[in-house]
Amino acid sequence: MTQKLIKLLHRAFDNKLSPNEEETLSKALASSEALRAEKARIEELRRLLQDNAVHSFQPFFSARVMRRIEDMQSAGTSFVDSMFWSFKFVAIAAALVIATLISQSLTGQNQLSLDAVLGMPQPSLEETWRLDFQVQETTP
Amino acid sequence: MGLTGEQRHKTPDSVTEQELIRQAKNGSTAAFGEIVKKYEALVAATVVGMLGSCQSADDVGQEVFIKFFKYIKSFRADASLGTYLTRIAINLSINELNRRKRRRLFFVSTDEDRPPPAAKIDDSVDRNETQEIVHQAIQELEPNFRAVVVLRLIEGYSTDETAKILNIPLGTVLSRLSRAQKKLREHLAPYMEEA
Repeated sequence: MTQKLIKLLHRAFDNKLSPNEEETLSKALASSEALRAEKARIEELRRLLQDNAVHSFQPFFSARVMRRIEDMQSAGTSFVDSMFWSFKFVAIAAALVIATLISQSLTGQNQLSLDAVLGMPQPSLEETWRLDFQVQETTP
Repeated sequence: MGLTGEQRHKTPDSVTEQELIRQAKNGSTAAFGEIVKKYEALVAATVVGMLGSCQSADDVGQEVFIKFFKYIKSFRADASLGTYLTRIAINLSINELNRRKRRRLFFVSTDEDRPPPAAKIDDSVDRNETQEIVHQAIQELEPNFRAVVVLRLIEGYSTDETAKILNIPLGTVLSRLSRAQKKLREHLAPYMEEA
């Protein structure tokens, strides 16, 4: 029983063999007892797996699924859905407003700068100190 | 070698199934309930095969049908419903296994994360114990190998169908099957000899 024949035997269980391969395998099976034993072991393993598969969940599974679906269809889900859609529209509207404001600001100032985008001039360092000094003087 | 998974899950009353799907799409929860009952066994075999018999398997099983319910309007009848549900079941089971892996990395593992203790095989092995031993052997496999074993050897899908469901090449299915069977035989050898 060569490794090649064992591989061929394994492949025969899961894949279609060519006519030549089928003939080789059937001849080998007829002459080799070891190969027949290997075939029996493969079949035994597969039978064991299929016979011991679990085909059910805990009792009342479908009732639990249907209860969850009914819960989902009630107010809870519709509230979450409506919130999601509301915020989605708010987010899109806000993005459009921001884009419009930025483009207006840019076209109005006719320049590309942070001042133009924010719509206010940036104070210089001296102006900031002066402002700070004024605040300190006015604060008791 | 017998019926393929596709043939097994495409029952003769597929006309009725189409009708059930149509009614469920139109909002009939009774029709959806029938679909759940009809496909519970199929989904259970996949999910329990992947996760073992535990509470999270039941939760994932429920999620499979909830997800199907949410997206039922986009379900087209070009694939069989069984294959569609199996694909959802495999994906959700793999997500659950990844969650367990993350939990093991960052937190103390729970009972569900650990494979069940090795059962002693003796003459008094009954069906439940045999089932436990077989499940334990499957749980010892890597998730990718486990998925192939569950679909091909337990569910009975053909290798082509298995490749399509898992979105992997046919050659990969065959090599994973071969390696998985080798490992399973190592685990189950004592029992197989006794049997």
